[in-house]
Amino acid sequence: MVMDAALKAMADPTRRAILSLILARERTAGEIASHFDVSRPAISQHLRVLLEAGLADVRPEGTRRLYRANAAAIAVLRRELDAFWRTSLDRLKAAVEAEVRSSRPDDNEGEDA
Amino acid sequence: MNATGQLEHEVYIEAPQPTVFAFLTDPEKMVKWMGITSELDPREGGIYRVNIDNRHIARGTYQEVRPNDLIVFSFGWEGEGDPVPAGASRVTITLDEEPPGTKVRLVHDGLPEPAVEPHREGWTHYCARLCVAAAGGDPGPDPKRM
Repeated sequence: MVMDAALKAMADPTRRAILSLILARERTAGEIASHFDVSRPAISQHLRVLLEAGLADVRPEGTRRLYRANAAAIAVLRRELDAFWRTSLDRLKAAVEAEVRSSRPDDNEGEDA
Repeated sequence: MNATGQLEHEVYIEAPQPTVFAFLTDPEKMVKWMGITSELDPREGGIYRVNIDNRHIARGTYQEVRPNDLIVFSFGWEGEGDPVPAGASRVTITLDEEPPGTKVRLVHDGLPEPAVEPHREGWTHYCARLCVAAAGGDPGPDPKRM
């Protein structure tokens, strides 16, 4: 479930930009918003999506709330995508080679038009 | 060149380039190895959309297509109310003739890259979902059923 949310959260370029911004260090929502052309509520909404997806964390410090990307979660997503492509390419190979074999009669090897 | 991570894979397929290319661009052939349904319009600006398992829908736009040689498309996951923009991450697939078959190289770039190496524990189980779906052993609507 977290995975679904994370994949969807990552589909948005503003959210990906926010993530890179808070990957290196914690920032407040205001600081984050100052880097973008979108409204402050829109940034808050993006942050909420990132938090719900487990891609970011927040902690209070005095009256401020500091946001930080969850590097481990992002790495997991990358690994997952990596496995996704590896598996997919293996399946591609199997599918293509099966078709090649089936279109080539055994007793008349390699004779196509 | 920016500081984003990229994923790279290669596979050697014993088939000529046009055959492999067809499996990458023909919607009916696509679903023999990825997804349940697909909508592909393999020309610049055309849509790339593959319904992996009814939960994960990969979506993007073709950026460059050279028959039998090269396929470049933006790539993201469709979410509710979240159309994947053209600036999403990018997948580049190149096909090189290497008799008696074809070498396929896939590069997925534009992904965020964490500076920190993560701990594995606690996360590996998430892999099941997508990997199982991609493996397509059971492409039903509920791949979590085992």
